[in-house]
Amino acid sequence: MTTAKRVLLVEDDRFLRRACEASLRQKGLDVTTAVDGEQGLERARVARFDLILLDLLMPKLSGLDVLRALKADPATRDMPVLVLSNSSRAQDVREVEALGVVGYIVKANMSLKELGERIDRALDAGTGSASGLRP
Amino acid sequence: MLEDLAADTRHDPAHKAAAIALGYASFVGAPLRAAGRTFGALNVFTKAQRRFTPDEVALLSAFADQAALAIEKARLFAEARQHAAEAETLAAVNEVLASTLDVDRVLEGVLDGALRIVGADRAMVYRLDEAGTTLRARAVRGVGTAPGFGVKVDHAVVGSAVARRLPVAYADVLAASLPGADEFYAEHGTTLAEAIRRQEYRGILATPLLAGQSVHGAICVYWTEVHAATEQEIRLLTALARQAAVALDKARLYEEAQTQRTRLAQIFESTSDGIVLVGRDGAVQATNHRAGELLGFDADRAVGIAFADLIAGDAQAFAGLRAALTDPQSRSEGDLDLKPIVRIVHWVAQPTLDASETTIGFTLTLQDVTQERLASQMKSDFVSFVTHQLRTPLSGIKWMLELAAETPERVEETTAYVHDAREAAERLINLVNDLLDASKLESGRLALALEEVDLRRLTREVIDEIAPLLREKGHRLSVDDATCPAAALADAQLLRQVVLNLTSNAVKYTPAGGRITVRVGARPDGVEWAITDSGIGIPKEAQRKLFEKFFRADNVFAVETEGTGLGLYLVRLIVEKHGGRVWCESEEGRGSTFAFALPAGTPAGPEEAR
Repeated sequence: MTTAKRVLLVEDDRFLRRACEASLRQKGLDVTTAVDGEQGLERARVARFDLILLDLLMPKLSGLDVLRALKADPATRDMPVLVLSNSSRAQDVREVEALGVVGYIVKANMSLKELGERIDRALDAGTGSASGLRP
Repeated sequence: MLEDLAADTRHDPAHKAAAIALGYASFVGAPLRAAGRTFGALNVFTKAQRRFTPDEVALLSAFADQAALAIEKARLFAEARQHAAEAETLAAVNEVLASTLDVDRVLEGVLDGALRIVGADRAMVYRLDEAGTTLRARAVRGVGTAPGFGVKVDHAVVGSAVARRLPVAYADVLAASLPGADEFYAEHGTTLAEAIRRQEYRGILATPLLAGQSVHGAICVYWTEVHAATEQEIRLLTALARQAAVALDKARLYEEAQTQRTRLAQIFESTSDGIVLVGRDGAVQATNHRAGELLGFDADRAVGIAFADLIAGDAQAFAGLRAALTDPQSRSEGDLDLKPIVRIVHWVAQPTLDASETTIGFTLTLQDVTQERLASQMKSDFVSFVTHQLRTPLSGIKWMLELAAETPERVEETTAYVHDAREAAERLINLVNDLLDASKLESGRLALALEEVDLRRLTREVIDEIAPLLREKGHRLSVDDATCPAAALADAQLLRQVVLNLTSNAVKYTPAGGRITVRVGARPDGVEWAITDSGIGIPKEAQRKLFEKFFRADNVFAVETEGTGLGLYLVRLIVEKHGGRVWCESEEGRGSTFAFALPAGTPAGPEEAR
């Protein structure tokens, strides 16, 4: 039996978080949510995820800071990150891409269906399944 | 030769009579001649009448010739000595004139020299004005004072010397008829005689100051007694005038150059732009202090130093400018982002050309554009942020409706999605409305509809409106409005927005079962409204920024609430529009007080108080 892929959704907007979470669960993914950057980083540090969906503009710790922290830590460096942001500020895109992500998606420009397809592709590109809690 | 003086008829009878009276009877004479010119005679008289032998006559002639030679030699010697003395005097004066470039000192030297070389009682220098029509007394030395008025060219002695470009002398001006003098003195309400008496002079000599082809004025010397200027005096004064004209011309040019220099230096220093002149060798030739300030070097020590060394600090920031330096032939420009001192400097490098259009280096102008660039950055950041804020509820609506459409059969879920979509739409509308309000208030386009507003009643109405929310959170709310004046002059709708915003904030950010107090009271200068809650409080560093656009304290997210980020900003704009102020006192974890004060009487500017 194949284990469900583990996805961490870091999103501060409750509507978007709820909609996205519902859609991903419908696809059979194992979804963990975080309501701000701080919580997101905490969760990414205690468990391995096959994909992190990361918002940028968030309270406490911005998505960019989360990404920097993830990439600086050898334990989390390899987890693929897909940025989901409604900001299309050129500077944000540049900085994010320089840190290394699998994609940058403007939420308003995508349906949940399209988003699901992007996530599938990102997961397929990833190497195998995450093994739950890290030892 | 005359044997008998008494019988002579050829000689001057007076001379003859005198010789006879002295007892002389005979006479022999020989001419005194030198260099082909006869300048006198050597005469020999005898009391006894006698005839002179040819030998005696020849002897006398030879003696006369020798005497003439000796006399001529002595004369030439005296003349040479005089010339030498004149040359020495002129040289001494010239030395004084040449030693200075200061116009006043040159004038002093000229006057001293003039008095010394011609032995006059008074000397004066006139200068021709720019138009070349009037002479003005510039300096005077000796007896009397300078006349306060100008002298027209070709009027009076000095005018005629200037007009004719020749020395003019009068032994006695009282006896002379001067051209245009009567008319000139009449114009000044006096007569020539009166003017001369007042200035106490009779003899006058005026010489024009000629430098090359142009007349700059005149030197005038005066004698208190009648005095006919000698040829020598005229010659000396003319020579002095020539020297003086050259010296004055030099001093004037120097003064002009100095004035220009000072003026340029002042402009150079007073401009708000930084300027650096760099030579072909790359060394700084000149720089103003502003340039040093902008680029962070010591302008007082920069001259002579290679410009590239001055900007050696930040290799990356200066890369563009450095590249421009390697090609001084073409104009280039760019921005320097000086991160450590948070300054953006715009630079323009232009080749500096000399009179023959050859590039002799380049001129660098520097401008502090930090504010402009920052403003432009803030504007684009604001647009990005608003875009983000609008997209967020929009994508929420879009995704909720997508989910609802996927599972129409699961009614309960679908209803929840639609409900969320409506809520997100509500948020979007609030945001758009707040943005519009902020924009209107910021631009001053919003006119206040001022009326008497009962602040006590308004507060109670607002509390009634949010009663359901209060009940839901289980807060206890009390109103202390004992001293409230009946009314404040305000825009009722906007003031209501302020009270509603501050009250609902207190309710939202206070954990369930909290305690909220509203105080409405009079101040000496108006009214004050304050709300105190027992909520989460606001971190110190956030308190200053609370009333800024789109600011939200981080700990706000500890409780899940959503705002537009414009509420308190709008509160501030509205209160300030009414001429009041808004503030906050808070301690994290112990609650906050938000308050505003409105002035008594007519608030805000005259354009709103219609």
